[in-house]
Amino acid sequence: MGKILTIMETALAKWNRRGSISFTGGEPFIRRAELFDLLKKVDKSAQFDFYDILTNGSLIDDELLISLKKASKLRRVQVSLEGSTPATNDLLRGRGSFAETMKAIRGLKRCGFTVSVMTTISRLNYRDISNILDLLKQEGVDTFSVERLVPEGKGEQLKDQLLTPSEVKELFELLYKLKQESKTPKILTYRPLYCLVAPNDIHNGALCSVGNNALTIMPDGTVYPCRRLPIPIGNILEDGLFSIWYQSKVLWDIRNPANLKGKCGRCDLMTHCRGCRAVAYAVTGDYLAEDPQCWN
Amino acid sequence: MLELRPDTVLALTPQIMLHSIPDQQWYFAFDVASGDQFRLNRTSYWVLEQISGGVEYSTLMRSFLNIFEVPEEEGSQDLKQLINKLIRQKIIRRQADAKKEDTVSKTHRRKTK
Repeated sequence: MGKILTIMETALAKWNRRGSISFTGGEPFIRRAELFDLLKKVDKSAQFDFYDILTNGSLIDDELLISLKKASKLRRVQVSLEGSTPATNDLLRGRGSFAETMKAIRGLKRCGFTVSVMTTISRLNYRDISNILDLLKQEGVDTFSVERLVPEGKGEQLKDQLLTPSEVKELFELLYKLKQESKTPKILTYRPLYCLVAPNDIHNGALCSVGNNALTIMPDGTVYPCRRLPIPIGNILEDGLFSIWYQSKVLWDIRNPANLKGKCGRCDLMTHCRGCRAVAYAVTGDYLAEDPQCWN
Repeated sequence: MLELRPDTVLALTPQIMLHSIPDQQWYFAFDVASGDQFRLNRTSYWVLEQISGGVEYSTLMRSFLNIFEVPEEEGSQDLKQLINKLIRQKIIRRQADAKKEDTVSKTHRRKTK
């Protein structure tokens, strides 16, 4: 992993850019010692501004919280929560996970960390969003975001639970309204499709980062365009970063908006949104297909 | 300026790749080894596309003058300057230089074994 970090640093230095990292898994705290070694290296590196840790919270204990206090570039810890009660959450995350997640959130807040909660939305939980937000407000959670379910990997068996375009519209309109009404937790809406709700609000919606400013790198060096788009585009340890970034056909296909198909290809809002390529790929097998959840 | 004879063969440096998205006015040359990237205009990109298959300078000059319909004196001066700049930036090289570099590199490899 140290070698991967060095390759990333070299690339950022060449491009005269500073980067950030999201450490995720699986569960990143499973390899606790290795993770903290890596965090130390990033803390010392001039090429990185900050990092986030994305966790299910199950392994967060007092000892870990003390170690985490030394992580000087940690911006926030993102915890996954799928429902406002054990009944809704544990159905998706496993028995007992609601209690573990809430314990983790409370421990993190007690120690002064910035805590973000992310919910993967599907038919199983989207009507629970208001309740989740009420709960997070009580707990003092700082930011909240939703990710649309991408039916791949473990999520493939949930394909039938994918929201319809009108359900996504209903949810995103609700989240945008709640964002205006309440400051805590701050609702993050910089994701594709949000711009359909309020096209003139520059704090709302964002282009997908695939091919633009992000990559997913696995521990063995395999590189994916996005952690939700599991198409291997090279191996950073064998090919180097420049070769992958400049030569990947998948990345170039996605960078060129003229390649987008269906309603994404003829959308008036193409400069603000090109849909989620991962959802398109998981549902249709074509990463350039129109976003199947777009209601425009 | 480097010498460019009519029969000088020009070629892209091996680690250079070209990419364009014309609708976006995007024309780039990328060095996949060093990470250098060069933003180009449409004319430079066209020249590099011609060179990418390996081309003699005189053939390139003829195509350039025909395609861009510029007076010979002005056009040949512009192209010469552009070629020299691309050689300095190590985006392209003369075939003769390539042979020399390959020989040097082989000798170096032998010495370091």
